[in-house]
Amino acid sequence: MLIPGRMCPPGWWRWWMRPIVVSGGSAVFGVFAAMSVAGLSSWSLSGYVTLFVMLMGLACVLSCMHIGGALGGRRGQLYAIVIPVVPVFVTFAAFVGLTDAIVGVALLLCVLMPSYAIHRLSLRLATVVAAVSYGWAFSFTAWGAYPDSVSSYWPAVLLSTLGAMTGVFAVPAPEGTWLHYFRSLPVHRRFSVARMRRRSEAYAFGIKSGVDERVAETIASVAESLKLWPTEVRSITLELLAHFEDAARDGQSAEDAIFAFGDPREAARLATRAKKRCRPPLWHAWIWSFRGAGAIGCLFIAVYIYSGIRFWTAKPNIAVDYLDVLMEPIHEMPEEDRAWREWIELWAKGPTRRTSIDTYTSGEGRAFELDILSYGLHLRDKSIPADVWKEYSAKVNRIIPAHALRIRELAATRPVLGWPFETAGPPEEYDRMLLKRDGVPFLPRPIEHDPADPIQGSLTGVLLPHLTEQRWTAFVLAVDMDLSVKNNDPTRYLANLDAMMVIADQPREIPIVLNQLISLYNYHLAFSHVTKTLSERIGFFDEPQLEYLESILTETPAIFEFSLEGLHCMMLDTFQRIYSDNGRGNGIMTPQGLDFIEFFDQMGTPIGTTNKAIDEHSTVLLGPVNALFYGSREETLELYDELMDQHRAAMRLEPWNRTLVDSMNQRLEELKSSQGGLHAFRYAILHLLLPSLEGATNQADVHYPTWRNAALIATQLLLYKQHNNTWPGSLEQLTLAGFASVPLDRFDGKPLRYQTTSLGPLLYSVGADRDDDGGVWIDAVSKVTSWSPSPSPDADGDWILFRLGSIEPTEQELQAMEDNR
Amino acid sequence: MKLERELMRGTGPTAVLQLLSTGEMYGYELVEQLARRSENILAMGQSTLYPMLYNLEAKGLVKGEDRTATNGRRRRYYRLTSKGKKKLAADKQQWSAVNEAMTKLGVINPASVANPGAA
Repeated sequence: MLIPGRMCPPGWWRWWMRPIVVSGGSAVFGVFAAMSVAGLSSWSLSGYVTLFVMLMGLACVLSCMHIGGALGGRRGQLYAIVIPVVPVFVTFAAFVGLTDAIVGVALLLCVLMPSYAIHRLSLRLATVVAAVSYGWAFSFTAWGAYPDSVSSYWPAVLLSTLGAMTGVFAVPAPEGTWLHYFRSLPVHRRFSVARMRRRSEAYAFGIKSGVDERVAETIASVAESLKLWPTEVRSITLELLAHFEDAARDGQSAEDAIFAFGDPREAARLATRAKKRCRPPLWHAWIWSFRGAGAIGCLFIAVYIYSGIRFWTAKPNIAVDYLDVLMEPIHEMPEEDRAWREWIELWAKGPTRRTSIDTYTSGEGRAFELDILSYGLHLRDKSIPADVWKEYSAKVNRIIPAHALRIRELAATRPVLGWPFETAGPPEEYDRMLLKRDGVPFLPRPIEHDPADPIQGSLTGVLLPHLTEQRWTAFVLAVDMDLSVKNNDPTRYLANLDAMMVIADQPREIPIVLNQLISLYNYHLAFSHVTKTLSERIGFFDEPQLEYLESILTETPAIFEFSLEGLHCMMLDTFQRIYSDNGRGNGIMTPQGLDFIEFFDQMGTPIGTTNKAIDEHSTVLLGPVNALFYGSREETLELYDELMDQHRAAMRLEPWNRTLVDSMNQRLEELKSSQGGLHAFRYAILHLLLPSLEGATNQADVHYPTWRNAALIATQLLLYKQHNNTWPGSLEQLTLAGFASVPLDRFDGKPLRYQTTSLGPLLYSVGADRDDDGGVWIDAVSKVTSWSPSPSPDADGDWILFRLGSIEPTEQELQAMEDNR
Repeated sequence: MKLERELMRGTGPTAVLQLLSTGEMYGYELVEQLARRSENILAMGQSTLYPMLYNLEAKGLVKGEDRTATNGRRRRYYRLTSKGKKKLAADKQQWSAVNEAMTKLGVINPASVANPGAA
């Protein structure tokens, strides 16, 4: 058997240096282990040095504890409790701070004290407890300071523990001490200090009582094997002692008495079992509870291991390129028709949100932050001083008309965008994911995705930097339309409107939800601008121009067909990236899937790549458990199909016939709170991705027709006035080009409300409360125009679509809204 | 004659209870009495006697008490409890029934019981 103490040379190899040297060696091994696992370049030199010192401190602590327990007595206590505090304090104070050092020492003592107590009972148990607790303490300390690689630390901790274990052999043990006896035993018998103590006490007691040494040895053997409380062991020891004394008094030799006694270990085994039966019921209850808890713990561990294996071996299988599926319409376009390069060059010349806002200072020193793209809004702001307005409008006139002209020319000649869609890649690609400006055109090029990261390339991260540019382009045209009105140039106005219709239609080239939303917003900008202009400048257009305006509006789609194909592709793509695939349409949640869901949940908006800032440790530890509760691929797909079928069924109904029961969002809300909230967890991906859909389809189904109808009817009203010199008495009197009948109010299904007043025609919708208030704004515009399956009681008033003067709330109406609030 | 283990397991506790019914005894005394009065037939290993006593104590059939003997040595004395007495009585009935059945079967020869030397 190995006893390193005897193999070491004397002299300078002092007993108190050995544990430090052993600890240092294990610390070196630990650092090498970390290097090999994490990679040489992962940490800096100071990081490795700190790791080395901390590992050495850890190993030193463990060594001292073992030595202290082995030695016993006051010196042992000094070793076990006091001395380990010194390296920990020094390490923390040097590398973390004095306060943390004090806290660290306090925590250390809280761990040391029970560890020492356990150590007195069982060396093996003490080793396990110490290794686990120090390993965790060290890991948590180091995690905060070093790169996030959990697997780097475990080899280091384990090797340090191994090194510390050898420290127990580095202390000289004079003959006669129980440590000397301990070392003389076979290795497999060295693991219980308590056993050694029981044996030595019983032996010593026997010797002291004057019995034969062999008898004392037999009694000691029984005592060693008893797994009882010390009082019970003492009682049995005394009883056996009396037995052998009686045998000796009876003239029996020690050998005969020992032979007659039988096997000491068997006696100890039977006695242990019997004595435990004598223990109080509370003890038995405690033991059975402990066993029950242990059984549950074992069951949990078994389930955890099973689910861990299942979880960590699950891998996504990306079988379909859904981006390619979505881009089919673009692939079918002739390459020469795709004008995205020219549009990028055009956008590079135009203003952005960053460059369009400036601060202007009036003569009085007041500062005004004005945006050239919000010209129409600022026109109505009477608080802007004249000098500021002059400077601001000079800038507007310098930039906007020229850029609007470029837009009109390109929209007329190269209307098709044909954008080369890409999905997000590694973080270093972020800069290229955004259209960078400063006069340099940005040309997207293919992004290389890391095949090991299934989240890269996800459709949730499809890059759409051009949508923002299209929005700004529409704003530029709108501002130029305002300038056209100001400069009394209807021809330019109509040309801008033509171009705006091209811009509004461009995003719909592939049916992504966000693309369609931007398209809707741009259409809204166009329609509402027309209605506003017709309302405020009744004589702006002559008859031919009104007819041309009518033709532009009638060429726009009467119904905005909101395609769900983009969403469907995105969902299927997401499923194939977060679930495994068993080849039969089913699978379980993968670690990548958990990362994806957590990132989505935290950030709100995906960027299409795995975010390393996610708590990797929670995925490592809790991932297998979490995965048990997530719905399978098949179940989630089934629920998704059910929800989408419900949504499609609701969309087939006219808006005024839909109820809350038909609402997919309502159903999602009900499901979210069902099963004690577990449903939201189980089908998290659906609860995260689907709720925004209904809002988007409502925009298409309710608001788009309303804006379009308002603009078209307003145009026709003015045409009627021009022809007949009076306003029509009803909408039926208009030649409703493109309408089979009078357009219906999307809120209540009845014809849009129209009346002629002393101020002129009034066209309105009943609005969110579904109640005809006679064509007045009462509550806030946003509330009145917002659609929901049931009437909104706090959205009183009507949605004014057209009237002379202004369709916006008047000052009187604004005051009334303020009073209502 | 050495009894089989299973037989010993059945007879040992009853034998100990019977011995204790005559008065309290300590461990070694019980070993001696058992061997002597059963003519070594029920001489069980001493390593099993003490666990048996602890079992009987756990069941409440005997009660152990530590006392200092006249010679100054400390011993643990065992005595029968009332529950032990009832158990002994019940065991006696069962043993009588077994003995009768075995006799009727011819396993036990009444003559050899009366005169162990003749068989």
